[in-house]
Amino acid sequence: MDELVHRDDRRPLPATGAGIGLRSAHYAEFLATRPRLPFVEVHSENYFAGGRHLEVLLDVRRDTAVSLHGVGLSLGSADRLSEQQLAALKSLVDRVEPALVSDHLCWSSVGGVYANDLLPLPYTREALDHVADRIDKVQQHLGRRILVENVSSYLEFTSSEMSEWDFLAALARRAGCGVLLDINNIHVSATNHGFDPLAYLRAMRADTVGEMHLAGYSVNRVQGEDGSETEILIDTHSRPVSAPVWALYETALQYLGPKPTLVEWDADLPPLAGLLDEAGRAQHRLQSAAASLRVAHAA
Amino acid sequence: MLHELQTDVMDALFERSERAMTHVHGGKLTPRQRLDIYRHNVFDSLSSALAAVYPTVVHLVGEGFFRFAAHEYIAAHPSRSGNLHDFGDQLPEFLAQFPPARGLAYLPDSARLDWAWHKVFHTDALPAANAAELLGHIAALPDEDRLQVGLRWQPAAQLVTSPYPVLRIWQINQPGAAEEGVDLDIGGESVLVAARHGEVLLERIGAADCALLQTLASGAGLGDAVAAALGHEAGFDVAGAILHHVTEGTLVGLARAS
Repeated sequence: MDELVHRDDRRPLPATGAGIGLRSAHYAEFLATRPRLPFVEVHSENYFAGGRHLEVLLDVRRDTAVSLHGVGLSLGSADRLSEQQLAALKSLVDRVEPALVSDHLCWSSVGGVYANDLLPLPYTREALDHVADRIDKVQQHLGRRILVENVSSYLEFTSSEMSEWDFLAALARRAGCGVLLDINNIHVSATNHGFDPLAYLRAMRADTVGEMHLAGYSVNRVQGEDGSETEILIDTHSRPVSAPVWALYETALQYLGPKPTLVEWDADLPPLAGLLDEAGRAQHRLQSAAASLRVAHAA
Repeated sequence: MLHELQTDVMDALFERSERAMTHVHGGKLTPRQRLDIYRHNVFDSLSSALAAVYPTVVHLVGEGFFRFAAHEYIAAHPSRSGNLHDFGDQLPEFLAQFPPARGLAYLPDSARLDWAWHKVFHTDALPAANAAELLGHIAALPDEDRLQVGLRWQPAAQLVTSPYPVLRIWQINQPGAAEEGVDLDIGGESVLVAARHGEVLLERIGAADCALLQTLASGAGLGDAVAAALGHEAGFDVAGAILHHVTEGTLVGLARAS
């Protein structure tokens, strides 16, 4: 898949840049204050139909790079790829010329019915072949590389033949796609399933990771059959980034080097200033990581 | 295998079968508890998506009733698109048939107005045509052609007509609106919903005006549209109305009538 032109390199994002998700509740304030940011990320589907959303995005794009993050390709579905979804994405990509295009390592539909949720895959060789083939088709259709993001999960399938991180690393190799590494999702799934988050980081090749995500999770207490309470972390994007996720992020930056990083916040949104502060905290860590990298090189 | 597993999981999310339980590791929680987390997430996020599209309906029936109706709707009319903005188009018809909502006869039309707002907000508007040029062109046509010509409808515009005062109902259910009642006996309203200068505007229009626009929006020619308008109001100023709608960008050009 080397023949694919990496159009995303035309306006590359700085590796030490931290961006925020642009949400409609912040449009007016964002346009009035135009905060200086390396990039903003939006959910692609919100802009498919055009209208007021796209007007705002094209305005913001005049001085801020844009990352298009999809939730609707259903890359892991056993259905055929939705031509309608793909055509809408292609047309948006042509209009916005984003720095990055991404979607998730998940499925959200089957038999034409959509759960509109990020459902986990069984990590089997069959699924690997299937998803690699679909990512290849998407990349061919868009004429550019996409990033694929690990999701949070609350269950594992008995049929899985490999770990999620081995599956994702193999997928990047096979399909030639990049990885959008969500640090919060690694922490959430590691806690829910009891695996070592560092194993996840170690399986990733630095040059395939094109972006990182940070977000906040919520804690659900569920009573098990024996009456004992189990804590399940739920990826809600509704809270500040937690201390263990900041710590895992710092380790990830050591392992993989600085990567463009997004602070995701979708529910119970803080004021724009609060979101910018959170991105500032990521920015600070990115710069520290870049500085220690320079020291290491100099030594 | 993948197809079978995904079908079983989707069935579990909609509580149609138990087969998915055998695919899922238990551990500290049972497979059912794990699938229930997803089921709650799915119904919760789809209900929230509906609530965002139908704020007037939520305000009219209250959050609790809306969640209950949304749950029934999601099960009966699941999403068919990866784009959540497409979801919920059948809610007005669903509410019209939903026995627990029978007492609120104006609810389906209020929902139609919410959906029209949503569609207009999410549609690219075509620019307004030059009104003088367009009307000059129509005037220059031979009589028989003039009756046949159609006018192109603005994609970012919708009409909602109701036997209830839906615009007044919509207005008093906006955030910050003064709490006051609407006298349902004042009769029906027709509302033009259109994008103007980056905002969605709702304009009450008369019955003759609405008949004119509805006929043109259906693709019929000017002759039929004029007849429909004058059928409602013999003295209706058709030329003035067309000038207004072309200037405002609701009618955006000439079209061949179908």
